[in-house]
Amino acid sequence: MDALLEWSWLIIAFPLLGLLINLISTGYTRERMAGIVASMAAAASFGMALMVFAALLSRPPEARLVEVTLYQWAIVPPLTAEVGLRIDPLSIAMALIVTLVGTLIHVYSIGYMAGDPHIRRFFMFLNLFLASMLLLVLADNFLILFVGWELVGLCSYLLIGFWFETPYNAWAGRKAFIVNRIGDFGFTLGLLLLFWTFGTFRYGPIFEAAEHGAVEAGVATLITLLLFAGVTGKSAQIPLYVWLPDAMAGPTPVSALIHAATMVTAGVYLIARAHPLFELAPLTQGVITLVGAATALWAALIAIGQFDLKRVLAFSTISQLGYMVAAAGAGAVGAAIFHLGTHAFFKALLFLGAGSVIHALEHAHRHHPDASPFDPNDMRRMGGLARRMPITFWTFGIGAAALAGLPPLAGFWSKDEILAALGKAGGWTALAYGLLVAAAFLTAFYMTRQVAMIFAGAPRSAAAGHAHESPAVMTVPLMIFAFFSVGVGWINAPGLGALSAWLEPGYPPVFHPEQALLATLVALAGIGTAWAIYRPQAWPEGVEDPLRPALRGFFTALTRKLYVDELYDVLFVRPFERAARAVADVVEPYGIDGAVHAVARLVGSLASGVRRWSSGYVRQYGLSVLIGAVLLVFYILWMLR
Amino acid sequence: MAWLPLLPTLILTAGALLLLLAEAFRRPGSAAGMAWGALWITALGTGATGVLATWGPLEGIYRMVLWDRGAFWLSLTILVGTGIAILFSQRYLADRGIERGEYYAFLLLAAGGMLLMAVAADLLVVFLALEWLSFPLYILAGFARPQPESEEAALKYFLLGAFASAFLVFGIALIFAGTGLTNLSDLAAWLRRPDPGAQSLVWIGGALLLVALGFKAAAVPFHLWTPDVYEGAPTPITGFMAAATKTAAVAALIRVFWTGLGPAMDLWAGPVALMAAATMLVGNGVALLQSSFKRMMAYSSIAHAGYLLMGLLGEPSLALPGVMFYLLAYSIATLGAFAVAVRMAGPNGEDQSFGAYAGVARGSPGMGAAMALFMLSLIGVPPTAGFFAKLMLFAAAWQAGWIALVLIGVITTVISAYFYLRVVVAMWMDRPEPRHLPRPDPGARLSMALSAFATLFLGVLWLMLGGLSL
Repeated sequence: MDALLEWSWLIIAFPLLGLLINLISTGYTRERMAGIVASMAAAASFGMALMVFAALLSRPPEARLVEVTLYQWAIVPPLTAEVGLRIDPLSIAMALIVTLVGTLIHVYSIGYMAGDPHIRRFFMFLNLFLASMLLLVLADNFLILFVGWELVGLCSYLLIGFWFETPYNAWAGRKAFIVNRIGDFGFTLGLLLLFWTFGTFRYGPIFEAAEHGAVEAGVATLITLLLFAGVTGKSAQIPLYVWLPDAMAGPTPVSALIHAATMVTAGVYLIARAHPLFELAPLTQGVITLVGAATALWAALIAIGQFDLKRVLAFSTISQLGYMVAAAGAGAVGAAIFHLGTHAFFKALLFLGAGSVIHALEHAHRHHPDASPFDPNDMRRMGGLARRMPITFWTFGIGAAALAGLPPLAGFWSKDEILAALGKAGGWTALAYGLLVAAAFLTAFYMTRQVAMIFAGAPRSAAAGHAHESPAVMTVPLMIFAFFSVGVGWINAPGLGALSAWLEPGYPPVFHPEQALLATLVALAGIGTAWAIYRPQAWPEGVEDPLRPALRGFFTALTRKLYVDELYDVLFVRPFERAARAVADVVEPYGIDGAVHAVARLVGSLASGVRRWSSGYVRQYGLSVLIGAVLLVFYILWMLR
Repeated sequence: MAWLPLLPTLILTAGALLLLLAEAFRRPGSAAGMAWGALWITALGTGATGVLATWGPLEGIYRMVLWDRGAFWLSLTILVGTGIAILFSQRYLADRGIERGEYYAFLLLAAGGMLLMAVAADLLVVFLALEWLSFPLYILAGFARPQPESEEAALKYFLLGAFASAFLVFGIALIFAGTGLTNLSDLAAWLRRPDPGAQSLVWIGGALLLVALGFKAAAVPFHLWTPDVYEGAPTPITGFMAAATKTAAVAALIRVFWTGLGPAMDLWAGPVALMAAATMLVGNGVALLQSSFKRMMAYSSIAHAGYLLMGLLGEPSLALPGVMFYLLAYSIATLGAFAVAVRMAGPNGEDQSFGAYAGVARGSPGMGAAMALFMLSLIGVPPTAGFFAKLMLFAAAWQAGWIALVLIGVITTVISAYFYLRVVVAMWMDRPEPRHLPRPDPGARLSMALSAFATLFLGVLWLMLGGLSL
């Protein structure tokens, strides 16, 4: 089995191979083949990850760390970059989640993207996305992780702006990229400081040095804070979460991929990966925990006021990432990864369910056009879809219940473990715990609101009235995801604790019955409150949202995402644009161009003077040689005087 | 074994004589066989150089010749230049109706003289080698007889070359009068004596040597012959002169000024620095105004002489490999460019103006891409060999404290981008419809491909090995 581990680079190579095949076969195979090739590549990657997992499982727990060095590149000694993989429980757990969710989304995309003229490009990007994320996860040093980190950012840009003919989509892709770059700036500084301190990028020596206390607390705090800046960008935390809601501009499978598997989880993974470093910096840990908890509550609040069904899910992702980041910050790495895994399944389920709804509405709209402006994402124009799309309804409902944290679904176990981990500590962590419990209530509330608005009552538009269930290629992945959303929580249920045993042998999952009861009650309270407000009988005809009259101005603020985008616009975007405009209008034409043109004119006129020298007459050429010789001789005589 | 350093020279000379003999008995018609013969002889010379490379320093013939690492790299550059020039000559000569077998014999004779220069360890050998390499070149410059431009080039080159040789002989005579020595390492030892006594004769002699060698290397103010000769000579000969003759002239400068007059660098550093600055400025500046590719390349050759002179002043541990690598990178890129340029000639004549190049790349994208690569290497854009060559020379001069010279080098490099890229722009963008040239013959294609490969390969290799261990 051990020889297999040497081949673990195939996990990354398969999606790249899929990309290559699709690239080379352009024009030779039919476009729909692209999806099949890409899906097979993703599935092969999953299979390889499973085999590596099995190989690792056959080893005793203390020997489950294999480093595979693929290539060594000496940039400028002592700066060397090893391209290597670190195969250990954490990276393989992540690789399994990424490849499994990724594969299912690839398959679903075959149906969702059918007929798109650029389907080949779509699947090539999708494969690249998967490969980049796997590189990030499996790398054995920070430099290669950073390569994957940036490639993931690039792919998100390419895929969010996939339908770039619409200016908004292109803008959203740009926004995602730029906001991420802001975080990455801090991340880069953190990496440089890391290298400065440890003299290497490799995890092994760095963590070893960190555990032996070879680094001062202040330096560790600075490094980890800078790394966390990158995490706030990639994992959409306050203050850099603003790109994620707009990332909905991409095709729905891309949203599912970004939210579930391949992008936003990178930040959580980084904290988990580098937790020996983070444990040296209690200050950073406190900051991370509080930022995570605050993000969880803040995003859950905004989600209540959204009408775009994917936007609700986007804010829900931000909120759930807050849970993971808070847990990882507090040192509960196992709980964070557990929630990451369960969230990957039910969030992918919710997104694909939303995609199914959107797909159905668009289809219905084409056959039964409506006079009013049509937006397939607008929940105000849905309703009554439960009877028309039963599979979508049931699976979406399961996903929503899992997200709300109802026992015994997946979200219950993982969220409960996070709350239990945070609840036992005091001080600032207690505050974070309070924020997370409040967020749990809001989570149950907005998910119930969403389910009620989409599926309950009577249709509120012609399209909703004529919608039909989606094809099997879309509903089958839904059912698979629903199955996982129900069952995947059990892998770390108390008494079983398989994930904990895998990730952190000797630390069984935390479970407090009273904590579980409280969480369940909070979730039920959220569901009950929402149902009381949004049930069809309590919802008068023609009212946009029953909450609006109750909350008035605050509800408007919620629909406008609490004006954060506007605030950033005034504070950062516009001043920057003004500065850029000044540079473009003044510095560029007069300063730089002016200098260049002036130099060019100067050189030209000087050169045309010198050019007269070469007249074509041999006597003059000889004279020039003679003058040069005389000058040289006189110089020598003068030097020797 | 005293004659071993001369082995490459002897092979090429004997080969040239054999070719001359064969030419006398050859039936009229295509001279392709002569080209093949010359190519084989060059390959044999290269093989001999390769065998000698493994040998340590070898002195011979009354210590008049010396084989060392520097001699190996210089010989290699000269032989590579000769080989590529032979490859792209044959079709050009046929198209222009000047296909005569002596061409290859003279080319090999000139190369033999250059190889002798690479191993020169005595002023007399320097003189002998300089004359040896020059005479065949005078003839080759006029090889397109009876075209007036070619004859003019030959005559100008001959008259001015003879003038410069007079300086060389007089300089050697003065040094001999002052010291009684012609051997270069003896001269260095003489200069290192605690009390060398009166030196003025040696120094005036050194100044005259600088004039003569500066003339061959085309340094300002002794450069004026270059554009006229380069323009008039047959295009393959221009390429050969720009690459191989430059290498031989720099070899002479290295031998005389580093080996011989090295101990008193303070004295000659000033004038050489001035010459380097003027050469870089004038070469790059006037190149801006040219409208013909060959004239532009003539000024480019002048400009690169400036960079090489700057290299002579550099910190020796960096400058010696730097100059060697620069010569190799520059020679290959220049020959590659001329391999493209010879395609501009046809049975109806030759047009080297930029206008003639318009749209060529659209008809033959491979040629356009290769030309772009060579021009980028001549500018010094990574990852081509030219970049690392310039980097090494600039670093060497910087370390030796010639900051102002390095700044001039950087500024003129920026200027040079303008005229080098003009060809590329003409080839790719000046005309929307493609201009179809006749399909290149295998020799020209091979020379283009080899040069392009070497330009990239040397750059990447340099990057991977962290500097070639020269």
